[in-house]
Amino acid sequence: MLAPNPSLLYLLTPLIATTISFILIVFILSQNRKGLSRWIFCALVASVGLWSLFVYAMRSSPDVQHALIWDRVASVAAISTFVFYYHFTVIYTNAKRQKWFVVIAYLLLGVTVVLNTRGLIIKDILVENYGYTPVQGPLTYLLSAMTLPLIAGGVYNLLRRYSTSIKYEEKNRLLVLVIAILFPIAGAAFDAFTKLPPLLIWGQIILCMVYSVALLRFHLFDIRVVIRKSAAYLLTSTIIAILITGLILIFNQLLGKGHFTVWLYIILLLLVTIGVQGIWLQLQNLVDRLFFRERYDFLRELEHFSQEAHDISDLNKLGSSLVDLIGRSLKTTGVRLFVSDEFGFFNLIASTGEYVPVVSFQSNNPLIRWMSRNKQVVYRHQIDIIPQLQSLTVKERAILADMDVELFVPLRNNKDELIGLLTLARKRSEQSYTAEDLRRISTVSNRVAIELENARLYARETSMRMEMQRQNEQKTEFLHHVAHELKTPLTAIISSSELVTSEELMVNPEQKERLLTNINRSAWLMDKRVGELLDLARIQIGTLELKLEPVDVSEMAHDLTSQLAALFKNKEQAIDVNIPDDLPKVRADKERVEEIMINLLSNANKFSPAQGKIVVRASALRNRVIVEVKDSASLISDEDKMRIFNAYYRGGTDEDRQRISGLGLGLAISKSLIELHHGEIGVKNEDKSGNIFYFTLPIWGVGDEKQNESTSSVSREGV
Amino acid sequence: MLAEDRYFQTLSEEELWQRYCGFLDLSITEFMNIQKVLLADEIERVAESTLGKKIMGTNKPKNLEEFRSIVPLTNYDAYEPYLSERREEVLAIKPHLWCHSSGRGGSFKWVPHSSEFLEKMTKLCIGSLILATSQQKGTVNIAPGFRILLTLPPAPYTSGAQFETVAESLTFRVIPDPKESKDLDFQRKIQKGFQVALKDGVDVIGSIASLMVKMGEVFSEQAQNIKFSPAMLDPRILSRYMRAWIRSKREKRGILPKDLWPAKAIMAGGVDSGIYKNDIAHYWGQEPYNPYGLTEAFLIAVPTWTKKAMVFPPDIVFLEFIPYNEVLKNQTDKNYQPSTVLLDQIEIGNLYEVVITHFYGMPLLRYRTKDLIKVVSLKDEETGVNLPHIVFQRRVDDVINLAALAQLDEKTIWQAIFNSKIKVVEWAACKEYSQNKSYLRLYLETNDGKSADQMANMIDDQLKIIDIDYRDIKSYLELQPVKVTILSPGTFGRYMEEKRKEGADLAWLKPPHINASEASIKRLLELSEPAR
Repeated sequence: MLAPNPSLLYLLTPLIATTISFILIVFILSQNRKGLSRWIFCALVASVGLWSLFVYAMRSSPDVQHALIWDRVASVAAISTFVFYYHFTVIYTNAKRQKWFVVIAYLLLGVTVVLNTRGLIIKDILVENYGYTPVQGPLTYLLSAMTLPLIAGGVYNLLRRYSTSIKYEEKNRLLVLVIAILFPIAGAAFDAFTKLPPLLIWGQIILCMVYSVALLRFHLFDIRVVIRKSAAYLLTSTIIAILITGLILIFNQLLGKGHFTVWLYIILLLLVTIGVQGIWLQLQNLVDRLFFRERYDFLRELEHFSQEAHDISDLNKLGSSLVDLIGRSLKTTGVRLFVSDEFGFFNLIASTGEYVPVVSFQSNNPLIRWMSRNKQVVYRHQIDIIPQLQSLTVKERAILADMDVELFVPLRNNKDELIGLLTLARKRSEQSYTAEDLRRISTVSNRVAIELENARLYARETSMRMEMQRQNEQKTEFLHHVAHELKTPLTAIISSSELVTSEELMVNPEQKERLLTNINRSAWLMDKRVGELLDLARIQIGTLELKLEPVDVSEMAHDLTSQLAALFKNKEQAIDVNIPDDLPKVRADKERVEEIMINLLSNANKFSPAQGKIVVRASALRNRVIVEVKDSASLISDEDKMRIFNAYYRGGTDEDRQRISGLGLGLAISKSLIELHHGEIGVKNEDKSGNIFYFTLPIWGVGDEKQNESTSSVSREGV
Repeated sequence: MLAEDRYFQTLSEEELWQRYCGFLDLSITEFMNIQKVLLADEIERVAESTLGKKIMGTNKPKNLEEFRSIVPLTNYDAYEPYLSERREEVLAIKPHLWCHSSGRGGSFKWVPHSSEFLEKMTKLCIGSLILATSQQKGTVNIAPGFRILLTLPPAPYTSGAQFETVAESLTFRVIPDPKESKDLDFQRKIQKGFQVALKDGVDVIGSIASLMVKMGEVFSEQAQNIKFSPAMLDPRILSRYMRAWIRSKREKRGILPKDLWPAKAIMAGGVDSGIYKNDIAHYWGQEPYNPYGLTEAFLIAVPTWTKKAMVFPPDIVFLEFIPYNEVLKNQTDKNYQPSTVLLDQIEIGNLYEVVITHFYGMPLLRYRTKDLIKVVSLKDEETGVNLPHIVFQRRVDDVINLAALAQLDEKTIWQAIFNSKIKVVEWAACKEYSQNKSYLRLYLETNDGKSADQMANMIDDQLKIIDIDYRDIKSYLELQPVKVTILSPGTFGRYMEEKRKEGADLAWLKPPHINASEASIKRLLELSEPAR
């Protein structure tokens, strides 16, 4: 039989399909070569490419005999496409139980090869006016019927995965894989059941194009976006086409049919195209708005927000605008904005949606730590997956669960530091967040980060200024207080010394003695106050030295309570010393520890009411001795507990401060002294029966080696 | 749908690996961070409980350093009588379940477990199954519905409770069905398990290493004379036989268990799994996978996919390690408080006793497990796992000290017996004295045909190869350091039968390999009498 005279299009289409396929393979492998699924996918695309190549070989054959050979080879490649497709879906969807079906599928491929050599699948080749066309063998339809389960199985695997997948992008990918395979099937069916020129190759080209576009243009391929976009262009083109056709018809009517030749049509088309440029753009904009209204509105709102944000310096106001914008544009049930403060806490600044108790994240929260290091958003389900987040405590998990968060978005400043966190709850549509949503969030977070950082710095600056102001006031008050504390005994000394030298008292020795005692007491009080100030200064500049020795805490406590017995007696307070006899000695500077004990006991005396009870206890725990002084004073607030050991801080009510003298240095010095002993000091009142001031000291002889090391190193530093 | 099944449905293979085995990608710093955060949470939770106060005192430790300096190392007695009486009011939170040990220590050790802990444990169990069935990183070869052949004691025994807990979250099939086989004895259960597996297939086989080898040997002998039976008419069984036959013929050998029961993993417990590693691989087609578990915390370390050494997960318990020299100091002076190191401080080649602190509100704090582990590497280049790798060495007390020169543990003696090629059915070892000199007495149930002296010499030769310290002991003792007493075949079987009739607990049926009580040894000798 003679060779046909095929058209160029008929010959070139398989070559186009082959070229696209092999470019696609190069692209896929250049990105990453790991993973079996990637290789099987490449095999699938390669078989499509070979199929097209063999079809080209068939179409360009010089005679029917050659064409028959190539068509038989092409049919094997066709079957292998579907086998690889099925194998790919099994691996991609982890349907490992179907591994035996994969084996069967490959057996089927082997059978195809054998049957083809016998002419049972492609029997012969006919020459049509467009080119060669195969004549199906007796087993063609049987083989097709056997191939169908492979395709159906593959589609089933993908759809099964689609139904359980929680990821929007994955769902799209699966949808692409399902849709793409339908094109060559449709082409094959068309060829099998009609006598028209073959369309199969076009199906293959479309398949490859879909895969290419999926990988190149959209990366994760949002099929819905493609459909929308295509529809938008189609609509625009239709409007333009109607316009042009209308114009042609009008011209036809006006000038008559005979006057219009082809070249005139072309000129007219060109003119119309140039002329409707502006209309085209307007229409395109209109259609885009129609199909992409959300995105359009979002961008407009974002622009508006950016203009506004420049003028907002109030962090809370800025936060509210931001969460409103995100809430509206993404249609979420709730958005929360957390911004870090100077203490490392990420505090809730603004929120939309349902009411939630105000929460904050600490900077050492595993999620915050993870987001500080990793730039990407975290989906809720990833909290159960990321190993670094397994240190989230039950409480933290419960908070996250209560917040009903679907997505955690990091906000970074221009130094790439995490400055805030956006949390997004579910979408109102109950759908998952799309790649488009993520792009919007990313756009917002990048734009607002700078404004947020500015507002945050402004807020921090304001807070620091207020704190400095407070400290300044405290210092002024302290100076005033020091002057008062020193002036009182000084006044007593001056007035008493003047009196003692006056003539009328020279003869009264009793009164003179009283005045001298007064001078002496006032001088000692001044000495004490100056001593406190000096101690604090020594501690602060690090020149205070400890003389460490074994100290019997029990003996010390008994001695001191006897010494101070008069104080307690004055207020009719009961003092109880409860220390076991076998309490081990501590490693301490005896004088300094006495100083601390006196301070705690005199505080207990001062602040406990008359007839109150003071208890001194001590016990050994592991390598330490814990000494406790319990008073019966009013309970110290949690706020005061944090400040009470700060220098110059004088707790209690204003009345207490007026009534009780002191510089507010006693506890601060005690704290520093205890820390020099490698101990700890604190106050607790959880049982509500009084305040317990406690301090710990190391037991003499336990871990001395270590202690010596640390003491000597401290000594070298001059403490 | 069960909770973990859902993860298998919705997550990709990569995500599944990350969820269950992702801890293998942590750096040691990240590992320690997780440990510290969870410990701080634990301290916060238990500080106000009765038991917490009993152990920690009234001053709550503020950080890890304080925790380690204030809280003493504990043992089970420190929690008595609260745990034995299962008093929940003394705990920080209500436990989800109570489990007890096998009673090897003389009495049951009851330990409570919170639901949060059980969730984490379930995750780790699934992780260990994934690792056991994987040959490479990132491959998940199990899915809900997998079949596991094993016989376990029921809850509240720890191992039984562990599997029941996993079964609450993940669908899998235990072969034989525990309900159907509850009245069968151990042997029959195993037999039935393999019968069912022959029909339905099996993915994971769990058993004791030595038993797996024994079964492999017996099967290989019997497989040479497989006779037709009506059961073979079942197409599933027939196809399995066919496949096994083809495979054996292709490899020019007899049928082995691995041909009929090609499992994805062999979970083999016991210190002997390392000794029988090659034999198990030969008979069953897979190297044994042996995670490290204990009553107090179920699993605490799992081997990686190479099955060579184990890695600790960060979120099961807080880990401390007592260096072996500190353990020894404490053994000589009970008042001595041994110091501990953390996972980022352990050194290659050293032995450590594991100290655990529960997370998730459960009560054990700085609890000495009495288990010795050996650090084999600080990271593994081959797998890319950057966490310390360990192997289980022995129990602290399971050792025979010869003249303070050599310390022979169960694994060493077992290895020596194995290497000597003496066919031993069961054995027991203890220390005996002659002229004030100590030596190792081995009671071997064997019908090898060699004399006791011959066997002693063979084992002695092997011990010299395995244990460096043992080499010089002969010259020091001036006598043969190994003596063997042969027990007649069936002695251990009779002993176990007797114990079973007495109603002894599972773990007490067989005398321990090391330092069995005098009464047990005496009884073994009596039971061996007829054949001696």
